[in-house]
Amino acid sequence: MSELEKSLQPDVVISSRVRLARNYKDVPFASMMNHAGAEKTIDYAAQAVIAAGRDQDFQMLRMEALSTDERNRLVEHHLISYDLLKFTDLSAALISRDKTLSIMVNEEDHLRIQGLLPGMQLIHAAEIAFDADSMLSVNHEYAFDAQWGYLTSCPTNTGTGMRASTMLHLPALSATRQMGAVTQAVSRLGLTVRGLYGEGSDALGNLYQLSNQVTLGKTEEDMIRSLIAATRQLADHELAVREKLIERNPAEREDKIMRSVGIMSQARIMPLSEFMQYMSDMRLAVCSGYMTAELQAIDQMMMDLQPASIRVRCDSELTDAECDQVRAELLRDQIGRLLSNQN
Amino acid sequence: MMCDECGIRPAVVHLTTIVGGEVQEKNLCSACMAKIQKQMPGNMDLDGLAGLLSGFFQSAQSGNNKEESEAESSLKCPNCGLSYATFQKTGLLGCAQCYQAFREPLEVILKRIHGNTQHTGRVPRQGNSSIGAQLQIDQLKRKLAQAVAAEEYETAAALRDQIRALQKQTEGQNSPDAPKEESSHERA
Repeated sequence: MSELEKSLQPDVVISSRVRLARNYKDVPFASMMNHAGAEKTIDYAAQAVIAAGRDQDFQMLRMEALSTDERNRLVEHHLISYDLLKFTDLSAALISRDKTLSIMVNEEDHLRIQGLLPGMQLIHAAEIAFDADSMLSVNHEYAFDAQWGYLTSCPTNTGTGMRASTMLHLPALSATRQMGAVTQAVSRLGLTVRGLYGEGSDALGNLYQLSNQVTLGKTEEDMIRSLIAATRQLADHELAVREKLIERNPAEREDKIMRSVGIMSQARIMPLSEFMQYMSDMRLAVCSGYMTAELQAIDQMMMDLQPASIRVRCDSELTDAECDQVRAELLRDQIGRLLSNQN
Repeated sequence: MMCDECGIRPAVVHLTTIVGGEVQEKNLCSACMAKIQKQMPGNMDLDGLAGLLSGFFQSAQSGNNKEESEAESSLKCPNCGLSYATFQKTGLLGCAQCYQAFREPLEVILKRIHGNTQHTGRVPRQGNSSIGAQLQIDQLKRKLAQAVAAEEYETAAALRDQIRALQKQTEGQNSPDAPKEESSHERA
């Protein structure tokens, strides 16, 4: 981990992501694209991976070959975006075996190159993305303008084409209704914060994504640096408020949080929104020292028990109600094991 | 600018609704726009709404001058055939050459979105430059300046060596002013 990112604990920062938007010069962009064009960009990307001798590292997924649940499972695990599923007959994804790199082909841009790592590892995520960026342009030139930089489908991405983001767990700032003020403050830094699931102060699981808004006129280094600085400030603020909440009434706080763990260990039906709130509490329980568990394991559980991931796991078309029952069952099992390991 | 509804996707349309004399303005992405359309009486399509959409993607001048705005709307990309009017509705360009065909209005739009119109970031085929090394160099330079200011010359010399070693590693993609900065520190 780089020195800049040191001391940023996984207590708040769940994951780091850097996404680059790129288009090949000689193929029409997504909005004017036909099948021939789509095949071309998929072929360019696949050939580039082979030329780099890295085809064994990647899984090539044509979206049309996947079931709806399999596609949505990839979205739930942040490996692809919903927008990639708009025209499934044209789109594909190259996903590295270790899941740290995902190259979406024919989303809004020909390529959406995404480096994704757990915890605060923004610089490493950027290196993964830029490394793939070089690999993918070896034989075919990108659309680039000396004044405007990388040319993208939508002018909101023109320039660096880079969207760097950190996924943050902010239960204390949410509970004290401070997210509105946070949103305003970060916008002055050219950054934006949004709920990862749901919106505004009602973000499911208190998960937020902080990212750069502007892509033209600043270097990638500058953007990443200000994102790291803002992440650090937000994380410090969140931790300070968490402490205050505990100080105010330690027993009540612990009780409130641990009740959620209790419910998860016994519930027979677990709807998604409730699940996200209890998982948020359990994450907080671990950070506050009320129980021991690996934070990464909790974050993984949060993704694995999303609806499509459950359906793929059970290999059946469960209704929403059945899905909530299976979620409760899986949860009881996993929480039961977690609790039996407590000293 | 992000969509006011979902906050996830970039806004591409500006929607003004007047209900019972109350004016409401929203910036929306195409997906949320489609959702809202479905809820609208009569289920209008996007083209039918054109009159209601005052353009987020219309250039600043065009608002004041009808002739200019008409000339702009009739622009067409010679390569992919996308019309400027379509771009105004969808917010999406059709190919790399669209940026040439619509250069003038796009300049205004880019300025409005980013507050800037000059790319200063990476360029293609820059080589395997390490963004981490570059950030580390920047940080070491700041430390070097501090060490020099505090007259800690031994520390400064060590920092300078570290910077040189890193620069050697990332050779070929340092900004041309890097060596200059370093020599000025040496003089100090």
